[in-house]
Amino acid sequence: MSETAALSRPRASDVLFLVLLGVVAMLFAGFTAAYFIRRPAPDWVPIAIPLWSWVGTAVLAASSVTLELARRRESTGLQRVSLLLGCAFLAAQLFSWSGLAQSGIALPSTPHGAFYFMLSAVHGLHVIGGLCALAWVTLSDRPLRLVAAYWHFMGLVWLYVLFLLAS
Amino acid sequence: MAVAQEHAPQTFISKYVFSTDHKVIGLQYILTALFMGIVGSALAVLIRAQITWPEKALVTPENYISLVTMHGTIMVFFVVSLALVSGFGNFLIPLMLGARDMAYPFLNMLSYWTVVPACLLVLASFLVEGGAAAAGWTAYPPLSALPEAVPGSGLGQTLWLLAMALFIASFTMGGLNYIATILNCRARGMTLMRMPLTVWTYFMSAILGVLSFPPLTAAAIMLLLDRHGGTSFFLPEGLVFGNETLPHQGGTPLLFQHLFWFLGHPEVYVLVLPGIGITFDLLATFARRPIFGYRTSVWSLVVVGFLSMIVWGHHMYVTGMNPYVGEYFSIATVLITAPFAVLGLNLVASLWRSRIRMEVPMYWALGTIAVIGLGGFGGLFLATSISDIYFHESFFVVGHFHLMIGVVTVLSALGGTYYWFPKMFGRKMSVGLAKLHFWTTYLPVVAVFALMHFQGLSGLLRRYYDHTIYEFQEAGIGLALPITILVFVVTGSQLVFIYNFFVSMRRGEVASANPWNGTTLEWTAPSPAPHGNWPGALPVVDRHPYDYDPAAPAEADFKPQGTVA
Ligand code: HEM
Ligand SMILES: [Cu+2]
Repeated sequence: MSETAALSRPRASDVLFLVLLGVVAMLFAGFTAAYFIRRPAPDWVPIAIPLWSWVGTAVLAASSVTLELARRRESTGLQRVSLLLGCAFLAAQLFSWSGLAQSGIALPSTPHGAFYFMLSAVHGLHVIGGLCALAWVTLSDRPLRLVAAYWHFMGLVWLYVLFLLAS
Repeated sequence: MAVAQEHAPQTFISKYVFSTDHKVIGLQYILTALFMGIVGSALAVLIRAQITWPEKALVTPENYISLVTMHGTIMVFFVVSLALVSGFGNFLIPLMLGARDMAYPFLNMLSYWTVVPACLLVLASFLVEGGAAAAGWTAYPPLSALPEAVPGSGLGQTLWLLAMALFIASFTMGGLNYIATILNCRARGMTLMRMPLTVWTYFMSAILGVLSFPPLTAAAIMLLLDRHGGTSFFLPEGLVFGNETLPHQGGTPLLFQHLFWFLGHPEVYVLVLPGIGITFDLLATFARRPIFGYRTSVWSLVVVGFLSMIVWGHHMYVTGMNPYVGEYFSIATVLITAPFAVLGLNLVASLWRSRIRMEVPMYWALGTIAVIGLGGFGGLFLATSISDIYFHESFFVVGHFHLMIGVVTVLSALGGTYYWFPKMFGRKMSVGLAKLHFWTTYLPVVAVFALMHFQGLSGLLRRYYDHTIYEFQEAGIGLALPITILVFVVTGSQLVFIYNFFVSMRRGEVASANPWNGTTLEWTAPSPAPHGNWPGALPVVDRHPYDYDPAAPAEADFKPQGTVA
């Protein structure tokens, strides 16, 4: 809206972005409520968080660091590194799933496991969305600001999910 | 300054099908809702017929519960939400704010074309094996979580879930767009506290929608996993089907109910608030005076919105919840009546020292106010856990929620249609037919749902295929026939509306840009508004939205909110 651009208004893209984060936050709030209501049931058998998930966490944290540096230094090279690290995180998650499956833990086996699979899948889908956005801004050479912020936010959501599952 | 019309789309497809123009999208939503409304009403008539003449067994018990489920689902999400929230919202927000379009026109188009397949899935679900979903519009487990539970729990329920997923995606896109547009695209001088109340209600409605749908999405994901992944989020131990004990254990259906109503209650405000906003705007124009208590109305809307997110438990009083929790939900719910009463009183007080013009839209506005009062009154009995334990699952509830989310919303949407029709098509609707439509809709529809309260008082329960075989329900049966006859009148009356709508579109009396002498910005645009809304520069706002003066001579009693250079 170029005609009203001179007015001091919050940017439309910022508003859209912040509300979108609110939507994602409420989604995970819904899962959190379910988690705490479901946990006291007698069939709750805890599982150990797979090692690969911790590896993935480190990779995801590294990707946030590289992306933040890419944003500050306007370096497409670092941007590409972050893309690769994001994919590596997803790969680590797949390894952790197959590891669980090999030790005989499937989706219906235990509610804790079900939450593990479900939450990591839902988070993974959001990461895939972030990767697509990142690839798009990298290829089309657009500003990184909001994509980087989304990426950090999903990193925080992952830490939160992990904390929930491991606590 | 660029003149927007230069970019106006030329081909039929880009103009009317894949349009990014908020007015076209708004009308697409409204027409889609009109079509779904015909389906939803046909289901309502079938339901009434079965209740009234159970001995004829018009449908089977399994199909009956599908009818009720799909009637509720269609009416809430695919009629009222589409017409009032998405339809009128899209049409009005940019026009009332003095913007060329929504902040994200492409997202807007995407949102409409996401809800179209959802409608198709809903319709298709009537044709699949086992029939449409049958777990109620609330989709409670276990009926919704076990594909083998009843015929409608199979493919029908799966399609229901997919349709809802698409609907939620579409609604979220729309809500994000509303919020971004309202915060960013207002004309010069249009401060938040100068926005018409209609826009304020869309703002609150969008915020509530985007914040309360995601937990339902979470519930839907868990439901899908319970149905197809073997998990037990909502399924308890010991369910037996066909002599077989199911392997599920440890889950609780109450978890789903909590997540559902965390959305479900705010959802009724998502629907009702725009109805109230539209009523405020019609009232100002035809009472020819400023809205009484604009500021308190805005703050009441904000408080209503907040409170509506923490009262969901009032739908679950009979689930055996801790009485202290029930007491909390009772108190919180009754608290909502305070800001709600402020809104109602401001509506009524806006008639004080006014100079009422009884034009067609005003009939609907005044009628809506009365129904808000009637519906709110019934709500008190359902808010209080002690009385709700008796009323729960009775026709008292059916009467109450239809008044609020059915009648208030539809009346205000109809009033809004008569009011903004000139802006949509540059013509007016026939006054004679409109009055016929009003009287044959208003009186019977209020009677229908008021009488249902009495049926509920006498013990008649909802979602029953045949009340006559239960001795305890006998007292309420006598009213069934009169109610159904009135339903036939209401339904027939809508044919008058549909006829008036489509004929007036082509042959109605040609309307000027401001046929009602209204003040808000949409009346400064030509009728019908062109692509980009204002052919020249955008309007500049210099006053509050309702600058009427009932003491001034009739043709000079209003000052438009903004001027167009
Ligand atoms: C033509 C006017 C309408 C009539 C005659 C009508 C009638 C009915 C009837 C008889 C029932 C079933 C009651 C029972 O369970 O025994 C019902 C359910 C319901 N109706 Fe309507 N209705 C109408 C319009 C609407 C509208 C506009 C809405 C919009 C919100 C709506 C929403 C619902 C809902 C949510 C249910 C509950 C479905 C369930 O139990 O799962 N109805 N209606
Ligand atoms: Cu409620």
